[in-house]
Parts: sequence; C-alpha cells; structure tokens
Amino acid sequence: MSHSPPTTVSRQFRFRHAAQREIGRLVGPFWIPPFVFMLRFVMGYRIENVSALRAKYRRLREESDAPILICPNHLTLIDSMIIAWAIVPWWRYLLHFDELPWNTPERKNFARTGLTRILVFIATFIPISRGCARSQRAGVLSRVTYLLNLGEVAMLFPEGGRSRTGRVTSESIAWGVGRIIAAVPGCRVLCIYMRGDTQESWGSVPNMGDRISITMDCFEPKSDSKGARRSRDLASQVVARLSTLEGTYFDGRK
Amino acid sequence: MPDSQEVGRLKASTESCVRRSQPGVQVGCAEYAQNAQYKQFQRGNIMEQSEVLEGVVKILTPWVKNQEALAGISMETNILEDLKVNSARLVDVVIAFEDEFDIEIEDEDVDTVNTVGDAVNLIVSKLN
Repeated sequence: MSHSPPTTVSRQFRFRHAAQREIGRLVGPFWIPPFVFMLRFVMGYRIENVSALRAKYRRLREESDAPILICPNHLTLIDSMIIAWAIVPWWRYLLHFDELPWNTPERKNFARTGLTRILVFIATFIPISRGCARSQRAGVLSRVTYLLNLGEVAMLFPEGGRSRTGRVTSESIAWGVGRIIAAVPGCRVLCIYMRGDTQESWGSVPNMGDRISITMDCFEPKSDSKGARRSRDLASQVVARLSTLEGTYFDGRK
Repeated sequence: MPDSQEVGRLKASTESCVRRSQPGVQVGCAEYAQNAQYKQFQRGNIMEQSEVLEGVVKILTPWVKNQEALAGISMETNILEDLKVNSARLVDVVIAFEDEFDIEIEDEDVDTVNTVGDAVNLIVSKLN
C-alpha cells in the first residue's frame, strides 16, 4: 500500500479548478469591492494592526515558495472572508486573484440555493458536507492537496466547525488537515486566531462595529508517525498552536 | 473476502457439490473451483473474522451514540450513519484498531471503511 496521501485529481476537476479561477478573476471587480465595502462600512468591522498583518503575510509569501495552508480558529460563518480581507488589500485580489485562498465551507451553510452556489463558485470555495461519505471527503482533500501543490493558498478550519464553546476546541478536530499537511511536502501552516472585541461565543457573523483582533503564527508541523496516527498528530499540533494564540489573546486583555 | 451471507452460500454450494460428486471426479464439478474461497475460509479465517469482529465492536462501543443500532450490529451496519459515531472521532477509532491488532492503517484505507464489515475486512487483510 502506498504511503502517499491523496494527490491525484480527475481531469474534470483540473478543468473545473481552472474555470473556477478564471471566472472568479473575471467577475472579481463586480463582487470584491462591494463585499469589502459591506464588511467595512455596513457591518462596521475594523481590523486591528491591519498594515502589520498584511506586511507579515506578504513576507511569508515572499520568503519561500513552500505552500501555505491557512488554519484559523472558527467562530462565525464569515471568518474566511474577514481573514482574506485582513491579510491582503482588497485591490490586490483584483490584480492577483490567485492570492485569494481556496476555502472549504459547509455546503449546508453556503451552497443551498442557485444564487449561493454561484457565489460559492466565483469566490473559489470547495463546499463539503459535514458527515459526508468518506469517498466524498477524500475527494475534497485530494483537491485541496492538488491546489497546495500548485502553489495556491488554501484555508481549512482544523476545529472541524464553529466552536460551540467559543474557545479553541479539539472536540471535533478535522484530521483531514493533518492528512493534507502530510501530503504536501514542506507545507507551512499559518495559524490565525481571530476574534471580535465584543465576541463572547460563536455565531453567524461578528457583532456589528467590532474591532477584530488577528494574530498569526506560521510553522511547519512534523511527525515521525505514519498513517492515520500521523494525520492526527499533525492536526493536533495545529490546534495546539491555535490554542496558544488564544491564550496569548486573552492574556493580553487581562 | 466473502461476507457471512456469501460464506453461507458457498458452504451450501460446496456441500451440494461434494454430495453429487463421485470419488476422483470432484474437479469436474463446475462450482468446485469457485468454492476454493470458502475452503480457505473453512481452514481458519472464519474464526479470525469473528474474533476481529468482536474486537471491532469492543473498540467502537465507547464512540457509539445509537445504542439501539449497537445492539443489532452486523457486518452491514454503517459506522457513521447507523452507529452515529462522530466522523471526527473516526481517526481515534482507526488508531485503536492499529493498537488492538498491531497493524498499520493508511489514510487511504480509512476512506474505504463505511461499514463494520469494511473495518473487519480491512483488518483481516492487514493481518494476513
């Protein structure tokens, strides 16, 4: 049995990926600025130290070609969108659409109707159903692995869903994260801890007008184990790193 | 690897084949060759499979949320859908299989495990 995790994807997916990227790029000017406007001026969100965050992320991208898997904590449905806005200036996505991270949202939340399915498509999402068949889950993991090996940025929530406790939890840890890390040589994991300053627990969106604090830490998880044990080990390291970031966040607010 | 139903069918078919055969002409029986699979089972794997099944059920028990399904567990029982084992906990289950049976299970192998029978067959194949 091969020791290499899934890296092969069908020709159909490669075509779909290219089409999704190009269509997203073409229609980007029509949805990215309004979306950022909504986050900033309708919802009133402000990102703390946004310039420093963007500079740090830019340095990470420039210092190495190694793939980056973004692993944030998960409290709201729009975490991935806020993070995308926080780490790269919105106008840069218009010029370099490839920098928009691929994301794997819960299908039930985002791809229910025809319109949301279109939005999911142009915003480079790969929806996944929680509790879906193992083969379907493996297909999504293969796609993300493929994209990372191409040098693209992907985002996965290692907690496996929005934390019901409001704190980083390993209750439903997504061990597929570990599987992807194991499948992508040299994969760096960018752990991001994000929280609105009035955010007590999980929800649909952060509270309106929130100042959003974001801290990040990049590392390369390693494990000497094999198979499923290795996947669990790698995913656990990511969640542990998020937990440390959370500790730092709350220590700083005491 | 045949399941219990298949084993039963093969057993009946083999016995019928042997009853109809004359000494020395068993090889002429059309069903005989395909019953080699059952014979291999008869030689020792049946016990092994039942032991593995017992071990699998023992490991699964703490993770099962649907106790009713656990009571009627069979090779066809779906681990996630019927037993309601949390999919995120499947990795812990798989690692418990590794420890219990002293085998190594690859990530790809886990994708093939949907039912209790899949798990049993995977473990038996690793043991062999």
